[in-house]
Amino acid sequence: MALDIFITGLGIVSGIGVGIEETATSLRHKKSGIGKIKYLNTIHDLPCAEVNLSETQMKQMLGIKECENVNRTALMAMLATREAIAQAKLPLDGTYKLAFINGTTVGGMEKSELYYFDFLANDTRNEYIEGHDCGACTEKIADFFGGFSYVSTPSTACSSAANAFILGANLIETGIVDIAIVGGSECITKFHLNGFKTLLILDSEPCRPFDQTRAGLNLGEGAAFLVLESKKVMDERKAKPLCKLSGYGNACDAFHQTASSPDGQGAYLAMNAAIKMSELQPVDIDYINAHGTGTPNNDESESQAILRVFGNNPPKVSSTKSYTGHTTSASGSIEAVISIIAMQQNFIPANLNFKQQMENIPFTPVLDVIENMNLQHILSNSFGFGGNNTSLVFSKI
Amino acid sequence: MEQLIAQLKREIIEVLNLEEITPDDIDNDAPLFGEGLGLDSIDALELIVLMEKNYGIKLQDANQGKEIFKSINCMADYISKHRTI
Amino acid sequence: MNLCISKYCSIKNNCFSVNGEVVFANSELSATEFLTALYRHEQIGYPKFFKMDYLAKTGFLAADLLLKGTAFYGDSLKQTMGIFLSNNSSSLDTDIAFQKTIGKEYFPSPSVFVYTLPNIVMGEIAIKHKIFGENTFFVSQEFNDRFVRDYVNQVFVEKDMESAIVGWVELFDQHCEAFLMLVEKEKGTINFTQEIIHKLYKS
Repeated sequence: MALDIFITGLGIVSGIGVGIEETATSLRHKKSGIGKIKYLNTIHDLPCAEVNLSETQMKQMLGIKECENVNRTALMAMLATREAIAQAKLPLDGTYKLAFINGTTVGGMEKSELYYFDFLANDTRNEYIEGHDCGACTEKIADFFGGFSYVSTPSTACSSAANAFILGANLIETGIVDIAIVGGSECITKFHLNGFKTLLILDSEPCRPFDQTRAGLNLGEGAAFLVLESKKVMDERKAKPLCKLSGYGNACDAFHQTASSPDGQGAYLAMNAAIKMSELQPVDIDYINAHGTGTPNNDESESQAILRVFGNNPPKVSSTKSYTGHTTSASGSIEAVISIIAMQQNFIPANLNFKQQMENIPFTPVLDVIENMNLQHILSNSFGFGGNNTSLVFSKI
Repeated sequence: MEQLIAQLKREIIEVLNLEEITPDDIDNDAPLFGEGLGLDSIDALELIVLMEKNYGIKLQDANQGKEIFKSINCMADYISKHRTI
Repeated sequence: MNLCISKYCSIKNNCFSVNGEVVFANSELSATEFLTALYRHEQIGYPKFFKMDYLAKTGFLAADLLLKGTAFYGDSLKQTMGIFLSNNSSSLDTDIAFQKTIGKEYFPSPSVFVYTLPNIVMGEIAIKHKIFGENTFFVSQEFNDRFVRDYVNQVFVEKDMESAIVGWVELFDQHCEAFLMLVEKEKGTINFTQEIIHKLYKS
């Protein structure tokens, strides 16, 4: 049965901009956010897409005192959530039952790794260690705004934010809440930068998704949140819909802890399930915002899954990780917002840095921004370690 | 070389958590990946770390590992020629 | 549609129980030593077990012994089975282990890093038993029986789900706890209700 869920607000912060307008401009002008590391204190010189704001700047924008303990993941999330709430004109005064769902893995870890040894040595900086948990991070964001009766943190690696949509939709459909703010937030930490590096899946150059010579991913950071509500509540409060969440699919690849199966079974099942729930056929999808990390493994696996779902002539495909980097737990919502911006402004984002066709794959990603595109239905993929694969379908109203 | 091979087997068993394998179970010429010990891609990455940590050999590329990790004898041969520790 | 708990198991205080009956216990061992002892006692024969971190070992063991003796055990493809787990400390136990490898002696361990995500435990269960259905992992203060019942019920209503592994898998600093239920449509005599879930979890 198709979902009856509408999106009435968007907010985004990433390496390609703070807010929807800056993000749209970067996408249309092929301006990638991948570059030298500026904020993270690391010895490594690897291309990453950091949000171009210090924590001091973010606190100023949010009216938070400099001395207050708020970690980078939470700050980015607060900025994005504020934008979404404003666009949706969402009252937080208890008129509606509200949920806040934040997908994250890192939580407050970027502070823990900074202050861990101080904490061990002198029992100082406790407040930063206490703010470490994913759940604590989510609560901090929710409490900044107030008014939420339900708060949760799905934590499934790179599909976390996408899975937040599934939880939000379920909460609305069961009537547990009226409106759900869903999304994810993640900042780059030394912990996962080193972790990905030791798995040998980082590219020392800007990533090139779906390119034959691709050598890995670049990490990114950011946050994006969206306001979901049912038609009934939306009509009742006369909110303006931006698009519809028509369907979702989640499946397990059941192949390996970190690698994807050669035939992309989990991705295939997730995409099919999302399209089926939307009561659509594969031919109805106008654009796929791919997971497209730029690793040899993912792009091959995802390409095979796309061919299995759509045949040899699939819809237009691009990976916007060539702009934002791989924002890990936040990627599902960051790429959802990018997809919806593309839908609203009638363009398809380019797949940057592509030079050479993948030898065994008959389709080529979109190489340049395509304007004047009427995108009725968009499919967005987010695949996490552990084989947790999620696909979302957004539809124009 | 015999000493290195014996040491290498002990290190591999420890680092890769091969709890139910003893050094005697590992044939010096048997493939480490695929059949033989049946190691996988994450094990290959751990062996790369082992090479650097214990022998000071830095491998930049997982593909280099394919040749070097063919068998215990291959590994021991490479280490004896390139070790810096 | 009536959802039932056709089987349940738990690991708590070095004691493994199935459907409320103790199957194996050993209070002399540490919590993590107990996991290996349970693995050997049940003769699971899956060497990859030893590569897993303690959280994955806990969840994997509980799920394996939950499915043992049922039609779901083994590598037949299960497209309509889901996995829904939660815990309090996410992957913190392994996060600390990984952090040690990027300390003063800098040799980040890829095999440890792989497990610094709470949902890898679902991946391990799915890999062995070929489970391809919907799966998700939540982090919460404590086991929330109301949320679990509502969420899982909704998934069964909306999807072609026929069965699911549902519960709580927690491991941090030698505190080890697992509570898993095998939930099926119309099968079994124990109803999948909040009160019953609460009672079984506490027992």
